[in-house]
Formats: sequence, C-alpha cells, structure tokens
Amino acid sequence: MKRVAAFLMVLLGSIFMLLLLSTLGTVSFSLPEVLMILRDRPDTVRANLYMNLRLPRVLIAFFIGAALAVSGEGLQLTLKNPLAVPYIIGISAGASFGAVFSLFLREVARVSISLELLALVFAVLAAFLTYYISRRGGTASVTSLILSGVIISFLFNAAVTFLVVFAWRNIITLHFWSLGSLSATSWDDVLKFMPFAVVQFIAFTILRRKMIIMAAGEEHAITVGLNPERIKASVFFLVALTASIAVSIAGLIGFVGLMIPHIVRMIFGVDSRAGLLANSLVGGAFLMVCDTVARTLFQPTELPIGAITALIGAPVFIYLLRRKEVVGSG
Amino acid sequence: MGKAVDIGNLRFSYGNGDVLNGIDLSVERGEVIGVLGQNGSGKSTMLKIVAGIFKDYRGSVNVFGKEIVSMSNRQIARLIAYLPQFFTPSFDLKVKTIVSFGRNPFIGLMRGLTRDDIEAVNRSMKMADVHQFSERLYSTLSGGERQRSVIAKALAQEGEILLMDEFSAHLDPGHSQKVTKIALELARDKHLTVIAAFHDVNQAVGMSDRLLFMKEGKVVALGRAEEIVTEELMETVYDASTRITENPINKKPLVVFS
Repeated sequence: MKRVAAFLMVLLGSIFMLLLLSTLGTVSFSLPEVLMILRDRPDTVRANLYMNLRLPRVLIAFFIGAALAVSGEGLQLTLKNPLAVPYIIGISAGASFGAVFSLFLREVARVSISLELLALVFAVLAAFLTYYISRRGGTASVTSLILSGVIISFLFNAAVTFLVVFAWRNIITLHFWSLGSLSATSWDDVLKFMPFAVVQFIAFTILRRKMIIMAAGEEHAITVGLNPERIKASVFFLVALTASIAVSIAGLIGFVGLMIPHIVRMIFGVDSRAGLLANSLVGGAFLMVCDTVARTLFQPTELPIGAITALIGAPVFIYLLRRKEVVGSG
Repeated sequence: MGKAVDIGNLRFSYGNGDVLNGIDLSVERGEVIGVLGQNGSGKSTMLKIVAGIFKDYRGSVNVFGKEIVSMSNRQIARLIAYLPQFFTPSFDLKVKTIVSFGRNPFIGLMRGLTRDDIEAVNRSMKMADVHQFSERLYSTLSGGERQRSVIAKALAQEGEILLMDEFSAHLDPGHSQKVTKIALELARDKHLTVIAAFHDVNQAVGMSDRLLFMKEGKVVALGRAEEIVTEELMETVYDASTRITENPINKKPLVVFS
C-alpha cells in the first residue's frame, strides 16, 4: 500500500511539475494562464511562445529523461551491472565523433552535414561495433560487452582528439554540445523522439520480468528457460537506438541513466511492478527540473544541462545512499 | 520405460583440453546419484551440460529419450531444475520473486503469473519452509534460508529431474546436512530423479542410491557405496590416504581421511 501511495504521488507530481515548470523561464507565465492557453489556444504572442517554444521543450526534457532512465534500468538489470549506463556501450563517444566530424567537414572540406545527423549515425555505429566485437561463438558475454564498449569509446575519443586539431575554431560549439542542451528543441524533436521512447517503454514492460531473471545471472536464466542472448540483444539495440536519438537531439546528458534507476530501486525495490513506470516518471521529472534550472538560474544565459543533472542529482543520490545504509544496519 | 537421463561418451572442452573425456551414465527414474571427485574433475561441467547451460558438447545426453541439444531452454526448464552452489542476484530481490522465477518456463510472453502459478509458488515456499519470509529480501536471509529459497524456486519448476551442484558446500556442516536433506527428501517425495555433486563423501554415501566417482573428466567408479567405496578408490580419486569403517548410524561405509 505504501508503494502504491508513493507511486501515485510520483505520477501526480510529474504532471503537476510539467505544468508548473513550464511557467518558468525568460518569459514567465502563471499557472492559470497556462491552463487557459492549453484550453482555449488563443492566437496571442504569449500563447504562441508557450505552445511553440516552452511546451515542446518541457515535453522533450520529460521524454528524454524518461527514456534515459528506462534505458539505464534495462541495461543495469540485463547486464547484471549496477554501473551500466546507456553511454557505456560506446554511444557517447560515437556521437561525439559524429559531432566533431561534422565540424571538421565544415572547416576543412566546406561540406555541411547536420551535426545532429552525424552524431546519430556514429552513435548507432559505435553501438553496433561494440556488440559485434563482443560476440564470440554466438554469445556476447556481459564482461566482453562492457569491455568492448570501453574500447570502442577509447577509439572514438582518440579520433575526436585528432579531429579537434583541425576543427579547433569550433571547439566551443563542440564543448557546449557535449555538455548537453535542450535550448534549440522544437515540436519536431518531440514527435521524432516520442515514438522511440514509447516503443522502448512497451518492449521493456514486456521484457521486464525476464530482465529481473537475468539480473540473477545468465546461467540461472538458462536454467529457468530463458534465452539470454536474445534478451541481451533486444535490450542492447533498443537502448542504442533510443539513447542515440536522445544524444543527437540534446547532446550528452549524463547521470540520468545511471542514477535514476538506483534512486527508484531504493524507493520502490527492484521487483516492484511499477518499477519501469516509476523510472520514466522520476527520470522525466528530474530532467524537466534540471532543464528549468539550466534556463532560469542565470537567465537569459543558459547553463549546460549535463552539468546541472550531476550537480542536483549527485547530492540527492548520496543522501539516499547514506539513509539506506542507516536503515539497513539499524 | 526409458531412462530418466542417459549420458553416452560425453566429451566437452572449454577451449584448451577436454574437461570431460567420455562419460557414460544411465540414471533410472526416481534414482539419486551422488557425484564425487576432486575440484576440477568435471562434476560441475557435467551437471551444467545436463542443465542445458553448455550445449556445444560431443557425445549424447538424453533426457527421457530426447537429446538435450535439440530442446529449447524452455522445454529443458520444464523438465530439469538446477541448484547452483551459489545463487547471487546482483540486485536485492524478495524471496517471493526469486521463487516465482521457477514458473518462468510456463509463462507466455505477454502474460504474467496466473493463479495456478501463484499457487505453485506458495506451495513450493511452504514445502521448503520459506513461506514465513516470502516478503523479505534475499540479502537479509542466512545462508541456510537462502538455499531453502533456491530449493523452493526449483520445486516451483515442477520438473522431473533435480540437479544439485555442491549445493550446500559453503554452509557449515550442520546446515549443509540439513539443507541437502530437505532438498533430497522433497525430491524423493515427488519421485524426482536427482544427480547431485557432493563436496562431502560421507554425505554423498548417506544420501545417494548410487555414487559416481570422477577424475580428470573420466568415470573412475560407478555403483552402490557398499560395493565400490574402498581405500584404493579414495586414494585414486582424492590422492589422499583414508580408512574405511562402518558408519554406526546408517551402516554404510564411513570414509575417514587420515
């Protein structure tokens, strides 16, 4: 019962927060005004500002936060590794390479290909390489998956360093991109990303029981009738695709995929039926808060959201970790 | 009626040298086979092959007339339950959740546990005497309670064969004896066929119908304890000198390591 109550609180809290946080910004709105805009859709400058800039931004923050947290939860359980994050499989390094490659092309070859597109292509490529390298004799062991993710990341990062020499004039663009930002997002991004987030969520809901079985070891999973390779591959590629698109839209946003699943587990337990939904709600709400801080703290200057997620998230996580220890030993 | 398990000329290698060098073993339905041998003799590997964990073996492993390699993991799990030496989930789970893993071979992709599944889980928890802490987290249990939870998980599979891989070797002698006895008594009640690797020779002698001694991936001796347990065999299998006397409790051979 306590968990149901906690879950309802999180659900209502997220919706309320979505509305509340959307009022804050360089142009601020009141809550009744927001409700009026959503209901009547008036054709005013303020209403347009809200509907076309503020609302999609808050929504994309929610969906990206939700998808990263769900991705992290899926990977951590399936790979039986509490440190697994969507970026561990090479995605972040691949995306960085794509971004710097786009700058390099512009600088050296005078060819202009969208930074977001190349980031997406190379993020997916890096994830595929990671999976391909780790596979031997039809199986990709958890250790070799993580190791090959680390190696692919090193490779792409080294390539980034080389290219930076040529694209040094744009280094600041690259730097800001790598810290993550939702400042240039639009409805297009929301519509592009939402289907992937939703498909991943549904697939993980179906796979969740199996993921928890996987968390008790692959040999164990086989002895209760699972096919670990199939589950690992499904989870891996769903995460690779979703996280790559998230990175191409918003840059590298760390922390969410690592810590939110841990925080949710501390509150709800690993085997809670609401675990996945709680992850998406807490992850979504968390990124909305971080983005609001990023755009309002020193407005009109925006802060990189990747730094905010760590600054807000780390202390919360440390607090929960300490409290849990106290509860556990008492 | 076919054999429960029929292993013929079983060979297996992890890549460098054979770990199993032609094992032959036939197990009757309802029989309890105790497997003994030094660390690295191939006991665990053999059990893992029968459990369907390693499928790239040579030779044949028949279970009720069907070759293991031709069966899906799900089909195998409906027949065979496997108790590992350690069961260590990376994340903290409730006992109830762990026991319910045993129902996985019966659950469809889009469906959760049915009422029948939940009843099977509850029944298994009662039999293994863990129902009183079904809501507790696995990490908060003692070693013996943990192994009883894993027994409940295996019972929930409602299969025909139970494999035990030095299941209680890490427990103290008292708990080891108790937990193994619980598992084997439940297995006998349900007429399960058991192949169990033992750490302790005398425990194996006391609890098994027949014993299989292994060394370097080969069968050294197979038969009833009274017929095969000799000081020479112990010397061959364990490279240790022993004295054999009669166990005053069960009148079977008692191996004393000197």
